[in-house]
Amino acid sequence: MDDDLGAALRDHFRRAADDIQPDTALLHRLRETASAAPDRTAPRRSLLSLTRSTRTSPPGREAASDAHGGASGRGVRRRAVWAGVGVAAAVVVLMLVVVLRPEGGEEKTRPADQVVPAPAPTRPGPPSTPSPMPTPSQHVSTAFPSTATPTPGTPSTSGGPPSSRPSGEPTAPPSMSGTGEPPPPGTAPTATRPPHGPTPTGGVRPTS
Amino acid sequence: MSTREARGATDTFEEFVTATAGRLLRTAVFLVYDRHLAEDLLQVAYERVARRWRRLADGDPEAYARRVLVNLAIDEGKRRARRRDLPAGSVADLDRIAGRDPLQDSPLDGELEDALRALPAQQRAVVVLRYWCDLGEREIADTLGISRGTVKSHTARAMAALRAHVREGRTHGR
Repeated sequence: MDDDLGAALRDHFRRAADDIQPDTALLHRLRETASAAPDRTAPRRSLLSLTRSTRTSPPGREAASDAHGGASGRGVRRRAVWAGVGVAAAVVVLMLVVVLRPEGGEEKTRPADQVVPAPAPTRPGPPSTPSPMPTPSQHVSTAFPSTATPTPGTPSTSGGPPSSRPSGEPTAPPSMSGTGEPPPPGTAPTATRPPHGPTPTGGVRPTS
Repeated sequence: MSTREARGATDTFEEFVTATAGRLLRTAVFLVYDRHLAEDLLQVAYERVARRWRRLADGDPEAYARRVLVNLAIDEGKRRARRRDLPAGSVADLDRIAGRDPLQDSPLDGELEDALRALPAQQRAVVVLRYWCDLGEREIADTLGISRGTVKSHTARAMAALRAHVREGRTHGR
């Protein structure tokens, strides 16, 4: 059956081929491709001569690779060069990161070291009133409403919603965040604040 | 390189085009079953040959051109298969333009053409290279850049599909 089918295929192709002839215009166009397409062998030879001694594939292999649409020798070399450049750039970036990391870490921890101990001992106030410095557990409940309330006379520089969630470690009271100075003892809004529990959602109204 | 040598190479390429254009055009038409697409693919193949003519002139430039042509046709076939497209023309169209009905010449021709057009591009390429170009398994493998085992499996599948198509056509024809 395969022989019959093969013979039928050959016969089919032969008879169909009789009517397929290139016309004059097509032949002219095909001949013109020689002048339209530049010969790439001349400039490429100079590049190939640099690596010819190390090439292991036969000379026809490159042409076969081009015919299959694959990477030619020049394309492989170009990719290798770019890969080398990329690796070198990555190494430089990595070295910069490693070298600069300790300095960045010190800068990051320095403000925390300065801020944390500063407000606690310098906070004045009557001994009967609770300390305005909240403990971590108190800070969780008072963080949301009170931080958005500006102190009269000392406008807050932030102007927006509270930017930080309670982090568990003591921070400066909200009234101190704008100027860096504690408010006068008599007018401190925290004096009317209940010692424990959440702050009223309306915030502390300023007293004139 | 002198101008005369360059001109001599160009003349040789023109002779090569004149000598091989008919064969390669028929191969291209059988690969894609579309005359206009076949001419375009043939031109691309000749352009690639022209670019490497000095290197190819000592070898077998027609084999190289056929290899380029087949791979271009397979790529185009895959592209059309992704778009669920069919070839715009066919050998039967050429026959009708020439004023003859291919079905009157052989009862198998119409069925074979339909079956060939329905084959995947790579299987059709194997059939064309085997039964039109009369290439052996090793040459087909070199042309397509696949192993001989793959050539065998493609040939077997293509022949089975063609046989089933022809048998089905005969059954419906009765």
